[in-house]
Amino acid sequence: MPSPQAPDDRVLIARALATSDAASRVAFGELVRRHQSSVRATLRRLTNGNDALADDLAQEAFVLAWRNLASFRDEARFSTWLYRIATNCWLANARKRKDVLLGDRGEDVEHDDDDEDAMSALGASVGDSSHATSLRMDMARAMRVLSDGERAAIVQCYDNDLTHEEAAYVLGIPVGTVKTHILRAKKKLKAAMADWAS
Amino acid sequence: MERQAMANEGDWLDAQLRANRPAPIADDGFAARVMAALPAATRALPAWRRPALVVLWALAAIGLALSLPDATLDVARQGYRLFTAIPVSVPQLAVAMVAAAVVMWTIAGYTLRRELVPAR
Repeated sequence: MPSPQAPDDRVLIARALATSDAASRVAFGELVRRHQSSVRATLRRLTNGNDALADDLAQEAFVLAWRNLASFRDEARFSTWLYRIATNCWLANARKRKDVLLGDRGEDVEHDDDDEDAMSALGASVGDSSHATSLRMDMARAMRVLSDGERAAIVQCYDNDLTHEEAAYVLGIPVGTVKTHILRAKKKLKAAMADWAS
Repeated sequence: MERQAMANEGDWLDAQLRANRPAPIADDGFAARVMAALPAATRALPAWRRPALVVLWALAAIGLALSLPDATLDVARQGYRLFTAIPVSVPQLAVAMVAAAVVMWTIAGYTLRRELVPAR
């Protein structure tokens, strides 16, 4: 989060576009530091906790953002634009492995071996009570039941606090499909977390 | 009653999804890695550059014409004579116009192509 005195994203983008190469890099570096956490966290969720892959994709996303900074328009927030680039990087990578679809098919995906590592890491979160830790682990497990599209919609709307319209822009799918993904995801999550809810 | 229970369950799930947001991730050298991977910037052309260039070329041409009026008139007269000396038929005129249009569109396409107003 920028401090109250820190220039906002628009000012930094203008500096990155209009100044000399060195000053441009300084401004862009500030943008990277400001948004790296949310972009990496989003990609870690999308990649099912594969931190190394998520960080590689985040780096690729920031390099693409640098290359295309001149095409950024104020129609969206800079963070939303970054999420879109990051999501496209994730999709491109996943298409290579042919294991992701954002379409409205409601299919489940296979879980990879990183899942248990991610669970352990989650369980090892310092400062959680055992109850809270169990709840977080069960929630993370339940998230893995979701299809890629459902998980991506939940990540954008809940983790990144985007509206359905913004999530649709980020994911490159219609708003109706985002809403369908959210509804289906919640249904699955409710079923998976039924013991906790009661 | 059942609807109320479902609504409460939904509220609980919403609350859990929001509480389950990932914790902030420390930079740990990530930004430095990104900055090291950035390619050299290709300056984006300012929007005013192209019209300014057109105006400057036009001013230069007018300045040249005004500073050398006799030469300019000679060139214009010879050009007119050359043009009127050539018998031009309608098909030839049509071909010339099409050729001129192709040349103009090619130049316009080249000038306005995306690479010249980049992306970085």
